[in-house]
Amino acid sequence: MAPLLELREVSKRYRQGRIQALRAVNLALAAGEAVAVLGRSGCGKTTLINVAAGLIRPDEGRVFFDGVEIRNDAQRTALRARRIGIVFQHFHLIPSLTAAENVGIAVGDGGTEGWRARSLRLLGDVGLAKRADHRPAELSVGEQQRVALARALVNEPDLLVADEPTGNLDPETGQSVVALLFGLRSRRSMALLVVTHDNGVAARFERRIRLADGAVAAPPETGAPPIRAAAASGDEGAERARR
Amino acid sequence: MRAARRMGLVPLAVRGALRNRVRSGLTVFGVIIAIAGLIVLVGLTRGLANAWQGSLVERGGDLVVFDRDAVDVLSGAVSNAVAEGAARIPGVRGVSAELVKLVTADDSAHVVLTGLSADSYTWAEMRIEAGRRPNAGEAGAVVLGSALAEQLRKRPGDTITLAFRPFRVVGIARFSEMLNARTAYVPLAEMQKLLDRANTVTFVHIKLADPGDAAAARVRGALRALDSGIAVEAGAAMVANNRVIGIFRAVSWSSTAIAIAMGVLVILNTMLMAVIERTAEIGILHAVGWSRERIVALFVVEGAVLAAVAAPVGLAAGYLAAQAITALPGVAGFLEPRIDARMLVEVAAAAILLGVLGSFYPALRAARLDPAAAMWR
Repeated sequence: MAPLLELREVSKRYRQGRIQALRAVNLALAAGEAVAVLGRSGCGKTTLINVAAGLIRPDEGRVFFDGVEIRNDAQRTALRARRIGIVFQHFHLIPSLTAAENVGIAVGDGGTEGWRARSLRLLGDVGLAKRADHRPAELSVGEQQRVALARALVNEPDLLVADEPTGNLDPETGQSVVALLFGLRSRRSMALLVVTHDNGVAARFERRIRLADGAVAAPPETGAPPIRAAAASGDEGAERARR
Repeated sequence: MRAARRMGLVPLAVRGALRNRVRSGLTVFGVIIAIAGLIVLVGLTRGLANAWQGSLVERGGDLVVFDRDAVDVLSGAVSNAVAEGAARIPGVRGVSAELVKLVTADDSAHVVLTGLSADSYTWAEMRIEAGRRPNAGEAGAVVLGSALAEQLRKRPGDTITLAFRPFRVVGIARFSEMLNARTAYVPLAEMQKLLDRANTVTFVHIKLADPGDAAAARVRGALRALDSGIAVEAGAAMVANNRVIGIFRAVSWSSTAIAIAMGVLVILNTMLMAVIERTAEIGILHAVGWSRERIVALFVVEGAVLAAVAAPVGLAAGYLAAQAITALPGVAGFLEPRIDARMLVEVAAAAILLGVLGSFYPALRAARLDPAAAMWR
């Protein structure tokens, strides 16, 4: 069975090639799997997440989703619309819209349930049903991140990608958001690919990948589940997932 | 279930427009000016042509003879001999030779003064509601159109100064067409003397016994044989082809085109600013899976919403401005704007199109933004 998401030899450069953000990264993520991405600032974590989420095109390498190679922007847009949810460190909510509307803008088309009913259901799932008509400025940062989480989940994605979702939150709020994330994941059987600086948060994931200077750096951390992400040299877990 | 019904674009577009109320308000104001200008210019030009045409139709002429070389037909000269010759052409039922000039009345208002030949069918057919027609050879007698008499508060027996010369009002004639009802009618000989234009007229109106095409063509040929310097047209064609009306129409449409271009530019500028200001939000829309087409549609709808808000106000402002212009001294009585429901619908549709055109380029720019980069701006 093909991995849900697979990156093969993916490289990305910025500033006319002067900055190499990713170097021939291989990564395979099985359906329902939770993977944390660790690494120092500037090591390429956000670029990796953005490539995985279809927000940027890699310069080299290939990206597959559910066995299908993702080659163009239309495919990337369709994935973001239907199968991948994204949570950002800075939430990226639209200030002029209410919480329900911020969730509602992500609702895909088709079906009979209205966007507002769907948004309210998701806001209920993250404990914000009563804050549906508040604008972001009227919400705490923890609540804003929960709205962003509801928005990412509104189309019941197969993969949730999050870039330091607790990075702007105090430890307590961060823990509650992570607990919420795993609670929702258990009900939806979706895969997680999450960038974090927090080792406590990372410990809750089945796999952890450490990035260094744009490349996946082994070995796995002591006591953690086996890391199956592949470095440029190849990776057992990734190979297994690919098979 | 994964799918649901997504948000409509109009509420989002309205919300977007309300983000910067001052700018959106100024944009709407600019579009209102463009629409109002369009209504005034086109309405007045159409009113001018319509008034002239209606006047000819009411007076029942089938053909009009006028000076072929005159840019302004009112300054043209057709020989009296043409009118006399026309009356003898087989198939001609009636002739009205007319000398027309715009003059002052009582040193204040402007009126159309028309000299009618003694055998003019217009004398015979005008409905006298008070007083009488001038007697043969009667000097200084004038019949006023009903609206003119009402405006100047004249009754039979009163005196009126036309072209700085006193006339005695002998009758009031009722016409339904504005131009006819605002005209003063005097005998042709009196008019020719007043203007020092003996033996020439402005128009010769012809009534045909058989207005069919074949008979009309025969009469036209016979009329042209009388004088090579004349043109013969059906009344409607003469108005449509009239050079002065044509110039008015050209000026009106040029001004309208400028007004529309300004409207498009105003919306384009506003939407471009909106796209620049909301780059991060556009990045978010990309990130949550909005297609380029949907982002284009959002900004195009926003531009159309601005135009749609401006349209009814612009139409009303244009209508009121046209009415105000035609009520001005010197214009009152000559011109009524012709603004009908069809024109209002067409202009409203043009305004929405203007909004769409103006927002299309900014919308394309929004759709082309790189989502990851856009979110961080």
